Amino acid sequence: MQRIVILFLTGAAVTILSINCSKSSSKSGSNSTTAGNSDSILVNLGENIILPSYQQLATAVNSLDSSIGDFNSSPNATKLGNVQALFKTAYVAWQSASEYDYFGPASTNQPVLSALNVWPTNATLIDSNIRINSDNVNTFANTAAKGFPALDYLLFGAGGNTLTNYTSDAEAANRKSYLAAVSADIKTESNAVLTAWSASGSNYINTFITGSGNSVSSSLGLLINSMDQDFEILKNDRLGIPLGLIPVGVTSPVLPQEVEAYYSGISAQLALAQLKAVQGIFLGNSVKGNGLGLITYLVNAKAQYNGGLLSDSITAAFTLDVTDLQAVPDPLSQTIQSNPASAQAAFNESQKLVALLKTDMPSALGVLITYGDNDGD
Amino acid sequence: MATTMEISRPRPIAPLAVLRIAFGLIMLISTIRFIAKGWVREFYIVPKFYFPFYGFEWVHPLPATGMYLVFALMVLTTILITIGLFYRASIVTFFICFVYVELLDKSYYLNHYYFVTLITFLLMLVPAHRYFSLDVLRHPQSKITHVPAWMIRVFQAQLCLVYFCAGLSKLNYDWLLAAMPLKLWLPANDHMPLIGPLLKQTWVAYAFSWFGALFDLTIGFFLLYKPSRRIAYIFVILFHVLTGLLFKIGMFPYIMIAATVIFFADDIPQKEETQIPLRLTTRKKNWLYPILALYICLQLTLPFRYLLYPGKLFWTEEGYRFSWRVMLMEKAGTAFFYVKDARTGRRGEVINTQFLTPLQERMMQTQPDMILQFAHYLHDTYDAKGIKDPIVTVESYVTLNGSGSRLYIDSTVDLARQQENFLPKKWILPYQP
Repeated sequence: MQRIVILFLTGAAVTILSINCSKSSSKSGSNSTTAGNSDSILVNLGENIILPSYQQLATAVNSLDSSIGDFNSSPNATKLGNVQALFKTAYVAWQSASEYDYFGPASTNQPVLSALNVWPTNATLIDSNIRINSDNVNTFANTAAKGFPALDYLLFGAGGNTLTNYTSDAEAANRKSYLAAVSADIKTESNAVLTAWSASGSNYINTFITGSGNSVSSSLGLLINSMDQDFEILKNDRLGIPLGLIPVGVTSPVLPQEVEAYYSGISAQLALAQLKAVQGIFLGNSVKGNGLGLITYLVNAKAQYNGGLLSDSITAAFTLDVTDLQAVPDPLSQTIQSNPASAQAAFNESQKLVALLKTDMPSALGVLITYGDNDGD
Repeated sequence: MATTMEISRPRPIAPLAVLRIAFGLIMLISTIRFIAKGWVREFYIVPKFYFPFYGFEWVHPLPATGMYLVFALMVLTTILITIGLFYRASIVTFFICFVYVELLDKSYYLNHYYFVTLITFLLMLVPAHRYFSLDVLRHPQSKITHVPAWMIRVFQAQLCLVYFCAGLSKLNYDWLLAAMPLKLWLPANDHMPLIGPLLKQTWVAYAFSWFGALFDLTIGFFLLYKPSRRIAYIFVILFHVLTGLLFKIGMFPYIMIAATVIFFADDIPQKEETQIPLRLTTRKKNWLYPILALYICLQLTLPFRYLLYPGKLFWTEEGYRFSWRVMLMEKAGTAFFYVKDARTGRRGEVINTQFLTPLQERMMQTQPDMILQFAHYLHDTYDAKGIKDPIVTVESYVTLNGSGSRLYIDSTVDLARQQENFLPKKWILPYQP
């Protein structure tokens, strides 16, 4: 009796010890193996793709914010045009950084970065906020009255009358201060995420580069999950919902008001920017152009797809989707009514990519998409 | 009869007490871990829809407080089982709670949960508390030193069956000749110290596959055979610890390491000078033996019921669960569901995540019976939203062992019209190698 208890306890102790040893050694090991092949992919993704995306976003929203300050001090048509142009640049920059919205600083900093792009925006709420001069946009109630969609409405919502809204209109002063508040919020949140990623700030970049492995909490797992989640927004929210394909047709066939950037009419341009950003992560298109991306893992693993290479199939699917989306003219809100076929083609092609990116890629890399235990041997 | 003699021959009870303590402890840790990871909430409180087992659609989760109470009750009963206090009530309560939770949603089905269910069931039938327990301390006259041999043998047989079936299921082309799915899974651990770099080598994947199959097929016999028992147990520990480090398989390695101590039945010296054997009354035998016979028959046939279904088992998964098929395939899928209004002909695509958690979605996408359940749920949901009796179809892509995804379910079939039963599902497309 005692011997068997001792044997069992020894077994348990050995088990626990070996797990602890392996945990601690793998921790110390990961710091020293940054030269390894898989880590150089993470380095390229982190330092040459993700960080520059956030830098670009921060630069763009900072310029936008100062142009709004300039515009507010003495509104005129030239300055409005300048603000509108910088808004478009910043919105495009946001699309190229949204792929990282669901892990790391973008998801842990409060409010989360994805909160900057909740559309359709609530124009009625924005108008009433302006009327009562309520500038605190960072409340739960104002989720749909802030961020880029709010700017979209504030800068383009009145069409040719936009300038007078900020000059002769009775609520011009309130509107100017609301515009400044929305912009300041975008600026604060975008810069906070950049700081958190930067080596000079909270240095999340180091966490990312050293987070090897394929578990759901590894950098690869986090990136693929976040990117896939973001890519489904392209298919579902940017295309599917306005086209009336989602949800089921209880409403009108197409829903023009549901497009992103409804007032400025740059929806297709934004969708394309997002698609190209996802493609860039896959191909490893970085500022340094060394081409180490998710594709590298697939090539290294010689992943197969129906007789060919999975890396080739996904590359081809991206090219097709980009071509299809480029053929969708802006404004999307009109295209889906006059020529829905072009947008539907892009939707279908995106759907094929979702299957490849969500099913084949993680499966070939052994990346787990969810938490929870698996069956053991 | 000789066999009757052998199964009822008095054997020392100590192994049962050891098993009770080891199993109770592991289940205590397992339950606390489950709660600490927030899975009670994530698995049984947050979801809007659950995937019950066929025939158990009437089992529903309790409100949040109730679910936590069930888990609290499991913590309490595992402590009581371990120390052997109020054993009968505890083991029965634990069994009911555990089975209840398992039946709620098949998304979370794991073979080791099924194994826990079986061991708990068997522990309900044996007097594991009548030696080395607080119950004996409270009622010294309840102490016994010997039990009929079958009470030990049935656990050993169960374990042998688990390993052997797991080994049999590895004897297939993918596992042995393609080293799949280990060839996909092992390189992901290449950052591990010492063995990390090795895991990228193809021959290592083959070595792991062949050793794994050999281990599963033979370990039961090496544990049964006294001269090899100690070495075999060391192998059990090494093997399970290694797989525990390589793969995300939770409590499984520790459950097996704990349960296999039952093989040391002959090695435990008991000090008692006088034997106090358990005497089973005829009445008890009259219900115990039929239950046992039925149990053993089920255990011997369930793993092989897949033979009754056509097609590739890994693809259709008809007869896959409850058969000790573990780690055999890397399978992933994406399913786009469509709901169509028959009157207007308008069709819309469903966003699965509006109804399912990520884990539920992932499990559903590769398992036909769950795809069917979700399709029925969508039918009812959209019917209630005003689309009378909608047509539900699915366009689903599944990749099996890195083959590349291909169409899984016949995308023209109205799943709302298909019923769940034990017959082969004709709407699963045949596997195209």
